[in-house]
Amino acid sequence: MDTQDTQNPFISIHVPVALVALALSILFLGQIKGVGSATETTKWQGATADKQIAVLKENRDKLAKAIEERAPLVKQSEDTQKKFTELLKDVDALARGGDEDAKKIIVGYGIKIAEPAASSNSKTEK
Amino acid sequence: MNIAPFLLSSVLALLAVILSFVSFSGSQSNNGLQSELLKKQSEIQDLSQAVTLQNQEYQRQGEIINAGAQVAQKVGPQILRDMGYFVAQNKNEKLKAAMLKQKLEDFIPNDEQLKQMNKQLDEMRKQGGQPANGSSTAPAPVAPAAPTLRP
Repeated sequence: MDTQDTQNPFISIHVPVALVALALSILFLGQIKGVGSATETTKWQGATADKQIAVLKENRDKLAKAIEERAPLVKQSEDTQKKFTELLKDVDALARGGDEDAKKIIVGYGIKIAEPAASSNSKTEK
Repeated sequence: MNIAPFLLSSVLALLAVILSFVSFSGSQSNNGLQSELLKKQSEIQDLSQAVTLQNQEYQRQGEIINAGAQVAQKVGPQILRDMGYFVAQNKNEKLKAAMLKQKLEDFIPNDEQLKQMNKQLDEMRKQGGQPANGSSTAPAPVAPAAPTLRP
């Protein structure tokens, strides 16, 4: 019987080793396929992210340029408002002091100057 | 001696080893790509934040510009025209000083312009018309160029 076993090529220590190696190969193949698929997805996500970064950078640059270009206009606008508010504060002070013309302006246009005590920044409303 | 099982198992084992290396290197490569992607996502987040802040600044600028335009084009000239009229008509020195302080003397009409304004006012009164608002007594000047309210 021993002689028969040694002569049978399918009954040997190599058979289980071969089976384990086969199983491992199948396992690794599956893993490689999975990793390959994940790599493709990551690459696609990377490409999309690159596009998004490019668009965002373009938008950032455009906005920065627009903000810079509008800065003088904003300053001019702020100066105008400040100038006008200061003028109306003076007119309001004149009205409170009994100046009839100033009163006509303040009452006629419904101008309200916030009290300095109520707020540090006086507001002019029409 | 039959070497077929030995060869088969050896080949399969070698294949398994090769595949394990391939799998390992693939995983490493994927990990590298993942970390690169994370960096890109972080950059996107930073850029988005910057763009959002810039957008808010842009909108704030727009509001300031609109408010300034409102003052300079609609509210301001009317009030200044009336003030200028009062200064010229009633010789109101205090009001004149307030206007001069802000360098708005362009809105004070000269004698000729005042005459024209009074003439217009008389015509309006004859026709039974009222000025645009309660206090406004000064009609829009005809001859004088309308000065712009600019800093």
